Amino acid sequence: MTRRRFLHAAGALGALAGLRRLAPASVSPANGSQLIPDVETRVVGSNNRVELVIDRTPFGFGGRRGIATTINGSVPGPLLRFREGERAAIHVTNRLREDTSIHWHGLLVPNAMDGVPGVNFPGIHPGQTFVYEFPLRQYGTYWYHSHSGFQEQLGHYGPLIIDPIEPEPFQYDREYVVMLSDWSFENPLKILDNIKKQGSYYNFQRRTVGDFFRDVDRAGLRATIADRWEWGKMRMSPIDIADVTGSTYTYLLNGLPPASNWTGLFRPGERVRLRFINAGAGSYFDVRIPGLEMTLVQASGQHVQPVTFDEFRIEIAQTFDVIVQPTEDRAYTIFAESMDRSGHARGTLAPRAGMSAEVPKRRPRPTLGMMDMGMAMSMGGHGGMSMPGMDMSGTQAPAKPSADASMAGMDMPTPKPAAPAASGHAGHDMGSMRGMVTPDMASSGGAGVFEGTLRDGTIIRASNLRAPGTIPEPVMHAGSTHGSASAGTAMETRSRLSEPGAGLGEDGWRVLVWTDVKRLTPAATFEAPAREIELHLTGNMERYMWSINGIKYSDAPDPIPLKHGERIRLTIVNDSMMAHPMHLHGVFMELENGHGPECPYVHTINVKPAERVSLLATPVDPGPWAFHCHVLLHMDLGMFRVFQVSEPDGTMTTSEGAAV
Amino acid sequence: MDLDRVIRTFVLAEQLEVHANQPERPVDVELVSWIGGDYRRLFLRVQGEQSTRRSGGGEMQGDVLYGRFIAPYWSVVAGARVDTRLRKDVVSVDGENPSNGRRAPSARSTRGMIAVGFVGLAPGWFELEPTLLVSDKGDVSLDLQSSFDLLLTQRLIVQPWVEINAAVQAVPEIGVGSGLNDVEVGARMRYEIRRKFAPYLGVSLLRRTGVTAATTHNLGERRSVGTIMAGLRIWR
Ligand SMILES: [Cu+2]
Repeated sequence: MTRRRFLHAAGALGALAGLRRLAPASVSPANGSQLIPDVETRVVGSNNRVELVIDRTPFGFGGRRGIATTINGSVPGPLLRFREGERAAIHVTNRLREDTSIHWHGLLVPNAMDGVPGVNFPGIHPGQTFVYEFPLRQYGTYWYHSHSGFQEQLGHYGPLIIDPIEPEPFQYDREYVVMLSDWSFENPLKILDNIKKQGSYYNFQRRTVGDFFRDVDRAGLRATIADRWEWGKMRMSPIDIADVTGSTYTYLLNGLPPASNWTGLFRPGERVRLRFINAGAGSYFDVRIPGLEMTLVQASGQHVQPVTFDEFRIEIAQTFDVIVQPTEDRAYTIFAESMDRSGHARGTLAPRAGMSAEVPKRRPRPTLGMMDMGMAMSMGGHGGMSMPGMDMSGTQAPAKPSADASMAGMDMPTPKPAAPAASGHAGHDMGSMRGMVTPDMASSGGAGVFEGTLRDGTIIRASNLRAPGTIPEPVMHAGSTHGSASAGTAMETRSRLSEPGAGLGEDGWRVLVWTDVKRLTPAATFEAPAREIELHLTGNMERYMWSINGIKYSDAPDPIPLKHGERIRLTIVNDSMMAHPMHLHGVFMELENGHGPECPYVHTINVKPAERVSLLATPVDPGPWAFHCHVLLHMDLGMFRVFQVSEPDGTMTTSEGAAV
Repeated sequence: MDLDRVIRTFVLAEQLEVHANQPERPVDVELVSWIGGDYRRLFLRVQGEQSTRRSGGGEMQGDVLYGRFIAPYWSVVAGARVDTRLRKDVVSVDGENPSNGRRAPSARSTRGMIAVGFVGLAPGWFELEPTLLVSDKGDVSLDLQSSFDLLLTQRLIVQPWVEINAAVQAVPEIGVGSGLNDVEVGARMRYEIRRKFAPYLGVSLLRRTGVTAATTHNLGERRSVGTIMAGLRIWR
């Protein structure tokens, strides 16, 4: 069977009793009704023309039915497949009663084709057809989704593959797309309303009196009380892992719930490429295939040096291509637990249809540690602290805390810069910087001239920048704590790329971490940044507010100006207790994970609580580009900004629809 | 992306309950609601008690407060409170000599107050609503409520609470003496069948102090009142 033939099976992301039955019986769900996407939509020809129709379609499983926002009638939408170097022409027709849009996640496209209503274009109105036309300037696994309202949560997403011109540096016999997502029969507006009124509305894994006594048994009364007080003092919860959970979500694999058991076939000994895509609106997944090790070959669609592991966390909107080689004549479960362990998605790799393997038990929900609260770990005296019931996550964490040091009696250190070159806000006079930004700063004589704070609180630094590709030093938070929109500002933020994240790394198997990932071919030129742009991710679970620098998007002033072709360092600091998958449109970012010219390319990067992540980028395509958290509710509530890239001559242009 | 500007309405019937062991079998209602966005909200609070006996009276207290979100867990609020009491027995005291109290036919007394305070979450997850009240006659009093959620399981929740009333001056017409008037402590145990729908059982102990205690004592009420209650907690 050819590779392309197999994709037919991969593209048949579900099967439906009653509506249509395109998929082979092997992927027919045991239970419930699915919508089947058209098999591969690639049109090989001169112009790669694709027609997509956005509509409302009944969707359901397990006897429950709802209405999905579909693309060509299916969830996920059809697999689009193009070839690098060609041009895509995608005609999108809106049959909804509201505006729609498609954003090509991770694709470098001209600004007007990026598909963010209010930023790049006015949106596609009901009845209208919009033609997206762009050159395919890259290869890899990507996806596409709506950037309008809650459509993405309602099923408006699909996989997208661009085959490379150059032969790939790895071999495989067959491939499948594994698209993970979350579905709720509740109206997303209702979900938001509920959570806005009670932050813990969907959390049925809160700490109970029983947990208290268990912790007393394990760690003693004093330490347990001290622990509860530390969290209580901040009115934060160490179990704030996900804000929308399995209590309303069903986690889907290729559009199918766990019971339907999506199955991909293989012949023992074959190498199978799995193109994992996290299309969740609010869910991170921890993926493993018990009995198989996985080798990462692409991340964010780009080649990386192969790295082998047993489990990985796929952040929202990320894509990871892995190769597995099942040798036994048996079924293997693809197990994708939601990060908070409130549910899972599941599929099977099997030599024959209808087989299944044991489905692992979900692990207990993780507990955040003091490090996630941004408590300083670089304090004098003891190297760390631990609290009952808390995994100080991270086997490779540089500051792995000693197991028995107790929180009790801990003194807060006074803020001090941890490293001279990385003194955070310290030294900036926020007040006097306000309003200093010149709208056409990009034309004012090149990068490096402006240093200060923009009106929206974004910090810009042009001097004392550390070497490119290096990991940020820990920094004590000084200056603004971002106002009432931001609760519990992290005291100290540090790089956590070497940590697998809360709830991972304690099971005795290998977990992928970002410091393991290196670009396949080192950069020929790896320039130092001319400017550093630092943004702080902020939030308040109490009122379920999300913002950047304490300012919601609708309150944020002008876009953040970038100069065409300038080398920037984007530093993202998470001052909140939740993880945020941050995505910058229009540009590939190089993740500074300590590997210099081998730093991997990413379009989306997860920023853990109290983490400081830096990325390098050289924006080229002019225009306004969205930058946002890929948790749909966080984005919609204001964790969103626009970066405005100037024309090559330094002038700023606003594209149509940008005035909002 | 405009969802961060949506105006929402929240209505919580914290209490819809019957005080089972009281001779008057009163029903008690406490509503907390707000309308607004993230930073500015209009708070409405209503508390009322009505006897289910034909002879019994009732009382109602309503607050209308404008609130501004000023710190991560705190809103500062300012507005008005109206206190209405319908009593079969109204007592008049001179504050100094409680024995002057005498019985009177049923009557309604209403007073208006300016209210300022905070609504928020104190360290340790205590819901706190300290309110300072100044009546139309210039009397100053303080009302402090605090509660806390203790999870026995994910759905079975015990909520202990305390309410303290204190006054700077005596207000004889309504049986308020100066200083600490009363302290009520209690706990309700609810079962969240759904997050928004939880039946509960509860107990409380009201302890009147000082002049207030003496005044009410003259009416044949006890210094300490224990209550057993059953009710519903509903919100939307
Ligand atoms: Cu977020």
